[in-house]
Amino acid sequence: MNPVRDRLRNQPLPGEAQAAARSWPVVEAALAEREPGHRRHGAAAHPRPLALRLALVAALIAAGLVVALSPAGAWIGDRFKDEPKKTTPAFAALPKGGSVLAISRTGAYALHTDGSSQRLGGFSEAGWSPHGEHVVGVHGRRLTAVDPLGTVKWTLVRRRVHDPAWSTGLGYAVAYLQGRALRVVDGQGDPATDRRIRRGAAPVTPAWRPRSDSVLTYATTGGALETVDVTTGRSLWRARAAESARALAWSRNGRRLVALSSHLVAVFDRTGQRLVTVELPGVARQLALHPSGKRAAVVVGDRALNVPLDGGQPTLLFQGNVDGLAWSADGRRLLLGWRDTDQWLLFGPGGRKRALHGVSRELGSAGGFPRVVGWCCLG
Amino acid sequence: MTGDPPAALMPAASRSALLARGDRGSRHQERRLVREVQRGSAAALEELFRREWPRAYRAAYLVVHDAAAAEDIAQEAFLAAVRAIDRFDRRRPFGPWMHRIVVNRAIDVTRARSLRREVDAAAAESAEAPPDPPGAPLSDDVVSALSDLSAEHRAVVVLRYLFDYTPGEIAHALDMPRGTVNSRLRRALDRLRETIER
Repeated sequence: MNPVRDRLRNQPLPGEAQAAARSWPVVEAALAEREPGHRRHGAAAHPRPLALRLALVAALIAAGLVVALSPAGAWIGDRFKDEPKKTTPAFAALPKGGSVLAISRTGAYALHTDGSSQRLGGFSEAGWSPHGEHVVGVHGRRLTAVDPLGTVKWTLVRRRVHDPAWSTGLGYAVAYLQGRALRVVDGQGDPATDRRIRRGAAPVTPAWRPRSDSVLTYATTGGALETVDVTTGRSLWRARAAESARALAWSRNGRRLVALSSHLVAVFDRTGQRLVTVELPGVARQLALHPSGKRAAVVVGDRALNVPLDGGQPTLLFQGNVDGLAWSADGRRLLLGWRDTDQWLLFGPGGRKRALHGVSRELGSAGGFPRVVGWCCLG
Repeated sequence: MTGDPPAALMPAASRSALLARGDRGSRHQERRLVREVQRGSAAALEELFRREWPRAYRAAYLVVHDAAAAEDIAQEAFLAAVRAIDRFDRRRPFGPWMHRIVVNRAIDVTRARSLRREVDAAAAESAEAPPDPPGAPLSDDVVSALSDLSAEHRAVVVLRYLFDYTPGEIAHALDMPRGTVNSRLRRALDRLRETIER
């Protein structure tokens, strides 16, 4: 045999069997989730998930794997023990109205308040359209728009595509970055409308001014912020930031733009005048601007802080390994992910807290922890 | 998963046979399995998974050289297959369809990682992007040597030597000229042979 062929085929690979054990339940669940019309009848049509999974584990153990002693094996054991129990889905604890967008290792999901979840695609980045009727996501070289059932509406194939953002007016435009170029395509994904707006954009998701399909703010590779009219290409204002921005957000009334950088939160008015700079006690990672524009939740190191945007001191909101956070559309609740405990925490009015347990399992544990990236359109 | 153990646990000779392209009998069986999956059979899906997972995971791993990414890619390929199974033309072989998804996705993932480094580096006004991290390198010399090639070169090698596709079939799968496939194969093999003969 050709020595290259021989070695490529026979070299044992790390994690192969464990990966199979983790992936099979996800794949099997996908078959079960197909639309009812696709399911057929007869004996073969009845899945035997518990028996199949047990058989999978039996085969692995019989073959001499020490899977049961590994973290993956421990997970498999837990899963089967828990299988017969029917519990209330974690996401059913979400307040009524609206849907949460989350991203896990297996892609993006829309999570609904009846406890159900819908996989939207294998996106590594995603965001809602203004009224939650669509999601735009990035999967490899594909910029794709889907409806809330995951049906693909359009796809643009572009190299080095990232950081998409749907416009906030009537949803007539989608901004995205291609390498270091800021580009915009219409909301129908028509390639004929796809155009470059600026070169030299930093890898930060651009922010549309509220209720606008034309005014967009982005961060430049030189560390500035620029707001442009994408229809005319005209620059509306340009401001120098003290540090390179990591995240941008407009307040709902369009009067304030908030830029998060590694150690600062900077607030600008609608003409680019800096109003306030708040220093953060550590390296900032994520930002969720309250719809009022008066405060923001910011993840700094292993803490979530409440940052008043009038120049007041940040206060501790939560201590823990937070990954992903979003305000509800009415600003009454904050949802944040607590990765270490596989929970989402819901902070409500009056300081009430509620935990959604075991959120990874809701999406199939192979997907890993679902990071909250958006919460759309309450009521 | 009853019956035979997963291919990863098989002796090398059996694994080689499984990884090679299917014969007429296995094609017939594959068509039957696809038909049953289209009817909703979890048992048939399980059998298809058992047959195809080792190939999908191995192909992805050999391109991305990262176990977690390989798992994601192989899993996504199966999810895509399940979601599109009703539209799948049973006259066509299932395996090549899956291999094409896996290898193209693996190239995308590798490129996306390079891009992310490139963009981050640009933002930091760094002069050069760092070289590809080795991921979790294997001790095997050939597999390690493969990681020194570009994702596109690795993909060509994987399709040729893991799955036995002809250069023409590879050109079709990767949407590139046949001459490019041949030159990439030649260059990649030269590098790999150097390693083997060392």
